[in-house]
Amino acid sequence: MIGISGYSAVFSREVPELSGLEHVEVTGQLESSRTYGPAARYACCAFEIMNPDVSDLGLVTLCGPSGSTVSAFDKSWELSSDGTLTGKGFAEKRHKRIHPFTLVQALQNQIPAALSMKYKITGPCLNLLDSATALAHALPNIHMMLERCGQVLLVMASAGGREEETAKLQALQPNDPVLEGAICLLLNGQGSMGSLEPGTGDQAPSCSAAAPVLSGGLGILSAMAGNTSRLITLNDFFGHHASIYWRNN
Amino acid sequence: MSPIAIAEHAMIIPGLLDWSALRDGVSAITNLPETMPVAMGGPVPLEFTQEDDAFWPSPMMPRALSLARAALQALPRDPDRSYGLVLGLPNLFSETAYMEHTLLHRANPKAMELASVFSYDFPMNFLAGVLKNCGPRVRVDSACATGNDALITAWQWLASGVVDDVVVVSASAMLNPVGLALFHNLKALNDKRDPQASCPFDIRRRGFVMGEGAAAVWMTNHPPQKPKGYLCGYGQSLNAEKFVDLPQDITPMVNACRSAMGNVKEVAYVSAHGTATQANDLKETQLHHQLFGKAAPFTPLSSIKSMIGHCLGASALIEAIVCLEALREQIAPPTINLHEPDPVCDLDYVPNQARPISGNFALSNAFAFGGQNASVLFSGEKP
Repeated sequence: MIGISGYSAVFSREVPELSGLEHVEVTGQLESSRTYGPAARYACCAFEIMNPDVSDLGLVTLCGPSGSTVSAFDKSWELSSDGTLTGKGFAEKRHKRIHPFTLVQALQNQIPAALSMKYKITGPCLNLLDSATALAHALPNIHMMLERCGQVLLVMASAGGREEETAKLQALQPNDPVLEGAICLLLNGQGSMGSLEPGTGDQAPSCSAAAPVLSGGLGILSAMAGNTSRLITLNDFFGHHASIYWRNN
Repeated sequence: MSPIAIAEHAMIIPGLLDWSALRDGVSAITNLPETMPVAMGGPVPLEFTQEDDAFWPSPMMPRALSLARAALQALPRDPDRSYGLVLGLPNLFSETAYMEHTLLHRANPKAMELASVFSYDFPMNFLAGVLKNCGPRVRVDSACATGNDALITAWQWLASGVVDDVVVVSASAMLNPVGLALFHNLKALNDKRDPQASCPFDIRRRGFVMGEGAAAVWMTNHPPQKPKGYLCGYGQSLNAEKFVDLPQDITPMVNACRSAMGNVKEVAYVSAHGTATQANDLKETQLHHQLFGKAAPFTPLSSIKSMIGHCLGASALIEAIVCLEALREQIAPPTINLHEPDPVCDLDYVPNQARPISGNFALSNAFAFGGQNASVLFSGEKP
């Protein structure tokens, strides 16, 4: 059994479905720090609301866009005379070269890295990327990590409202405001609040927000807010779908 | 931990080398064009074009995804089975054409539609379409430890019984101006024009040489024939110290290795992460001493990155295949270009020439940016 014994979340804007739920805060849209992108900062904010004991803690992170890729590159390019940017680190002028921290800002595993370094988490970690269905398919992995660690922190974090994602998707998904933020769920074998199980069958997504990796967590939190058990269908952007079942205690 | 069979494997690596070339110490490190930020690299001599494939969805197809698909297509598998897919594919931001396109055309919806193939779950669901009969699927990213974490994810699916067959695919293609500049500006790359630039554990080492490539592995609860080997242990940990450098305190790395080894005390071969950075090779030597104690000098470890460079997100899965072949032939592949051993690197790195080994277990280590460690233990015969 995968039980949930604690939760916390931060979002870039209000989520009406979650009104009245404790441990949920609105931060507005966070910007990059010197080292980390907005998604990692949302994750750290959500972690601090929960502040779990990190000894023997396993970490599973579902990461959306870091939110800092284009802005990190923006400091390092100018248009070459032939209309391209290629060269030894864009533009070939030393002060315009790609900054060393650009790599760190762009890597998506910066989210577990930031949590590990800031809060001294040294247990096992699984980092999955950019899909709504990742939560459903990660249930066996979470279950096995629980057998090794006793408790697992599941963190979903995304900053998909920045140019790096919106520019690509504007033709496919016009005018769809993207929710950013992070959700932390503390998982163990008991679960004072409820439990997660594989779902069967389909149902319309239960919380509307175009943030793939957040969608499972949003579904769980909205079911908690409504004090109900619920089948939560997770739809990938490019076709695949899966579901989980939230059993409310 | 119950062993899980690895039925088949395939790899597309620099120079299109195969296991026998790696065993024979052949180098795929070659000169890069002048337009690149560094002189040497390990390219895969394959070009992919839209004309090759009617299913190609965009002229901006990520090269890493093309390599992944090539590895998947080279993987023998049973068409009547249904597979889970674990894709080990780190973020694709570093492909030069994509980043240039995004920076220049970000305000043009029509132009940016071409780049949607870099978005969200497209890479995973595209490969699921190539695989056919695909059930559960996830995309794993732990930078240079991605391949091992992907294997661990697949093992957990198979051991829990949610699927009976899983294909693991991992790929990397950062051998381009932007990808190289990102690492070069961090001073992680060797920028000498030298065919022996990739020289792990040698006193001349001064950073890694970038490679590219892909690998694919079919893991199963029901092997159709004698399997290639078994995944029989794993360990993961976080360093909680530094993003780029390895930590002062290597306890988490030791814990990952010990977890992978379980009750196994002796291994025939260790596939080192072996990047040829100053810090990695020293820390990895310390780790080996701590793990094996008095047996450390007699437990061979080597780095195939000396021959193909560091294939980043694909490296661990390529090295997994090398471990299986090493166990099958009972031969450790060499660390080439090791002519002046660093005095602080005082182990048996199988210098320059393959060597017979004896035993049923091989340990493969991967230590990633972000402080993610993943170690896996393989056996040739079912333990």
